[in-house]
Amino acid sequence: MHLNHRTRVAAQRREEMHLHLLVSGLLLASIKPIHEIEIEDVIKHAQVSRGSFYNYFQSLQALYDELARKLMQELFSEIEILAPRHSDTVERLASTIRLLIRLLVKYPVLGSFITKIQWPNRNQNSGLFQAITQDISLGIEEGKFTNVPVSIGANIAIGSIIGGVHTMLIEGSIQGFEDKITNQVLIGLGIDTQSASICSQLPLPEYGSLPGTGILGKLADRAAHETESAGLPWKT
Amino acid sequence: MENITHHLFKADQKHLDQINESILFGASELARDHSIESIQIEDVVIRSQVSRSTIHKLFITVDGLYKRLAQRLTNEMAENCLHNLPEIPDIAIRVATKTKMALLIADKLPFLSRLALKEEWPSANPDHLIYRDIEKDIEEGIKLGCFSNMPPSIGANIIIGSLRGAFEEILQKKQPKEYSNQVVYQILISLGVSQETACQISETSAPAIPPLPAEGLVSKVVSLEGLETKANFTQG
Repeated sequence: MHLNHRTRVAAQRREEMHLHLLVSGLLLASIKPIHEIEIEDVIKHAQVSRGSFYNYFQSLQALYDELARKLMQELFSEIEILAPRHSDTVERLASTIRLLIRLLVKYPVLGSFITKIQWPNRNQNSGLFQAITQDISLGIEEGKFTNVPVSIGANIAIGSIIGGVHTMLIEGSIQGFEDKITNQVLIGLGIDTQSASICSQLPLPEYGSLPGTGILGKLADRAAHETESAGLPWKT
Repeated sequence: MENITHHLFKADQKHLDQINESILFGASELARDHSIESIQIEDVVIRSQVSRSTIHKLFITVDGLYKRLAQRLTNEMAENCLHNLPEIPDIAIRVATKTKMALLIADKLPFLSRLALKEEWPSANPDHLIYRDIEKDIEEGIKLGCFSNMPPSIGANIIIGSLRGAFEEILQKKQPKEYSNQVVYQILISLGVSQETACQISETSAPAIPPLPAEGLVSKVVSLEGLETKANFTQG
């Protein structure tokens, strides 16, 4: 029993440190390009030794690959909780794209990271991007989208999301920009202009706060400590 | 009063440029034999016969080096292709032609394309020749009423996202003959071209890749693919 407790605490500490390093990588990526970040920057930011870093990741690339994968998974869970329950594939896809863009622009630390990761990258095709691809696949099966390889439709959707978030972060959040992006994506998938316009303007719920666990939870914790000090532009 | 710098300590720009070129070419050679993600700074040091600190000073990280290499290659290729492309008055046909040429490059010059895909997007320099050219075409198409009335960046992101995704697909495995027609068709309808017109335009044959420049980094990299720069690369 004593051993179980120690094992559990050690596992918790390990998980904490793992998350701590991932969040350090995320925060650094919000202030400079990923290709300018070195392991020294991460260990300095996280205040850990070089040895500790290598206990968790073989390389900086490994850290960023895992960060991207984990973040996409958490964003997927977040959007799934928040998105209205649409039975229609087109409406569901439209809501997912709009909610995702809103979330990434509302939290520029997240948005900035998504626009800096290497895309396309076969190692990171998980979570949210996979869900978008699945909906496009389903829409093609149902005859709602043009019958072309799923990947072509997915590239239009994902490319538009990444590029759109970048534009909104650089030029400032433009009212309804995410709806225009979604409208154009739907037209590109073969939806008529009128239906695309309706689907890309359906009512959406407002975002509350970030969840309490995972990378998003760590960001929320950090934000609570930092909102008073003018520092990282972590939220608009 | 101007500072006096001893000539021995003054940075010789020409020499620096030579070092830069030698590192970039050395990095290309390494990428021919290994996956880019596995290349370490030590590998570049040995191949280029320069010090670790020189690489750090010029590119910060190996990832930064490959980003710079990609930028150089895409700029040189774009300049060459655009310079040799005949005047195409119809904007939808022009977009289709340029897209098909890019896809043909991915098919015929896979090594060059793999390096080019490391180009940072969307957070790269917005004045990049390709981005400026794509946005110019979109603006013209919107002005002429050929494309939907949308913010030009949305159209540009559709094209760039589709192209990047398609490059990855082509590099991963040989795509069927109709693949490039399908990509072009999907891009055109995303931009607001009618499905009928998009279908007609997308089925026109791809232009040949113009002879590659005899000088510059592209010619050196293409020689690593074992191809002649003078060759005319045509479809199929």
